[in-house]
Amino acid sequence: MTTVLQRLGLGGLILFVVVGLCGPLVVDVPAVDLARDLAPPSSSAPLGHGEVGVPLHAALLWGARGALVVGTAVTALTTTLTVLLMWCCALGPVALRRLILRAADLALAFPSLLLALALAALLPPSPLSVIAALSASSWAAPLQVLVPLADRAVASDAIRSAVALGASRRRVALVHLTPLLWSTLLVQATQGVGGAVVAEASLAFLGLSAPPLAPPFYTSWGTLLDDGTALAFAAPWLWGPPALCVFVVAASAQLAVLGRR
Amino acid sequence: MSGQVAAVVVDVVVGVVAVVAAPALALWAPRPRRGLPRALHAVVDVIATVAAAVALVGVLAAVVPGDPIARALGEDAPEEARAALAARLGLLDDATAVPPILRPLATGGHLVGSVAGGTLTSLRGEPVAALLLPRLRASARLGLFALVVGVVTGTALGLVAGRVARGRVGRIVASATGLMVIGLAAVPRVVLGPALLVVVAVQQGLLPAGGDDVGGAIILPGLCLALPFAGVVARHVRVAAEEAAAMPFVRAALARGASAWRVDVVHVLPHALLPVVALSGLQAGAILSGAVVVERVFSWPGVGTLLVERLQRGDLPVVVAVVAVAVVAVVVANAAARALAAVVDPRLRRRP
Repeated sequence: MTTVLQRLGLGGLILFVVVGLCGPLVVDVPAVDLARDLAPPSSSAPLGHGEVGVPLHAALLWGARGALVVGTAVTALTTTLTVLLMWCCALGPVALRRLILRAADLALAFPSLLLALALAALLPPSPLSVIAALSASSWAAPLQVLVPLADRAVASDAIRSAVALGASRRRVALVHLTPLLWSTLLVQATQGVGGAVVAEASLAFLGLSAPPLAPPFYTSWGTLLDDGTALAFAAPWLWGPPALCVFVVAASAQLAVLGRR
Repeated sequence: MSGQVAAVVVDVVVGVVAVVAAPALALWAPRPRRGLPRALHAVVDVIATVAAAVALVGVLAAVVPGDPIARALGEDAPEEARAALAARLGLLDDATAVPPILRPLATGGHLVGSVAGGTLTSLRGEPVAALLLPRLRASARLGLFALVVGVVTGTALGLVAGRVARGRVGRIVASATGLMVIGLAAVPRVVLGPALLVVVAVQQGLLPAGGDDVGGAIILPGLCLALPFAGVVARHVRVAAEEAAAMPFVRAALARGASAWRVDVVHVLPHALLPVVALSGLQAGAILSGAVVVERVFSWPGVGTLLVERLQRGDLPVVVAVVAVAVVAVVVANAAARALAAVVDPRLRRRP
């Protein structure tokens, strides 16, 4: 039962990566076609056309690439930062540990989307700002999960004997501590990708996404969802597909790590 | 002129205190000291956290590249308007004697000072307190609705999913509920909101689509806020209920001949409710984040809508005020949940 759901989630994530990488190769750049403004689904555009005649399926596929880039970049940044801070907490001086954990407490006092919104609005509008804003708002929660695990590992016989044998702090961190936490890190990274894709879509939905890299190459799923919702009367085919895309990625990330901590 | 200088000095001092001393205070506060009541600790903790948060946002706004005044007023605003706004925001330019490294601190300090003094005004000069109060009331109404609906629905679903399955029908019901719980916990509010809006309000016309002045208008945004929360609650209740089912007190109750429903409600439920209390506090941040999206979808006139409107105009004071309010809400919710958890669960009382 559980394994079926986990496989379903993994499949969804793999689909997301494949579509994000290859989708833009098989579909033309979504082009403006004013004659087909809000045209219903047809054989050339199975999902219909959006405002200014952009075919929705092409916009979604190109949006998948944007979501993939943002999701991967945010997860990579957050994971690196979390691991570095976790090393400092587990193996560094007590004062540094207390400072980092307190900073994490402080960061957790900010609702993550609010912080990301404020940062994204303050920083100059670019995809990098979105990535930075999302990373800055999502490192604390994983850290609070990792540190107790790292503490337990550091107190274990294996690591204490490594220390007793004279292993340097760097060696302990790299060779002994981190491999013990791989599974947790993997779970958190998976959840992180889902969370980042949803957060990016939410920012875009609220009108604070990065401007398209070169319009209309990368329109965020959140922007498409926002437009589709606003046009729910005039073009009811527009809101469903982007909502489904965000849902599939979010649910896949949750399902893939179901029952694992 | 000397008055201005004094004001700038005060800003710098407040900024230094807020950015340097507040985190230091926050660092010190959570460690209980003898002779200091725990409630006082909690209060100091909240104040220090909020001061540090507000100052950090202020400093950040002052150090990000670009001209914040130009961002707010446009590139070719008249000189007087620029100067008035700079004074209102506590921004300093090259004309002042304050060294550049202290200027962001002065801006942060100015914001903390006006937040604490309640004299904060928006870019256009509206008092932020008056702007915020009706919005806060609307958001609190929505949040309370979501809290109650989420806890009740989540507990019920979790209990059903975590029941010891009796018979084939019971097992099917439990698995189906389990799947529903997983789905609810996984659906993002940015998806659920438009889906509810379009299907229930626009296509079926069952409930009002927006605003807060029509009867029943709270139902859709409230459900959108509550259902993912209910999913998270249900997941925890389910685990706790399954744990409880394996415990001796449940077996003892069954052995005494208590009915299945009595065991569920009288014996398993209190045990399963324990994690819900702490969880509700921990979910406060997620609910607030979700509320921004939900309020936007359903045009609910709350704090989140205000934030989004003002962000697009670069209205920094309002943004800072909303962030401060959100931080207060999260910290207070956490503290309240911890206190309530200690009341509900006597085992937690002994711990420091």
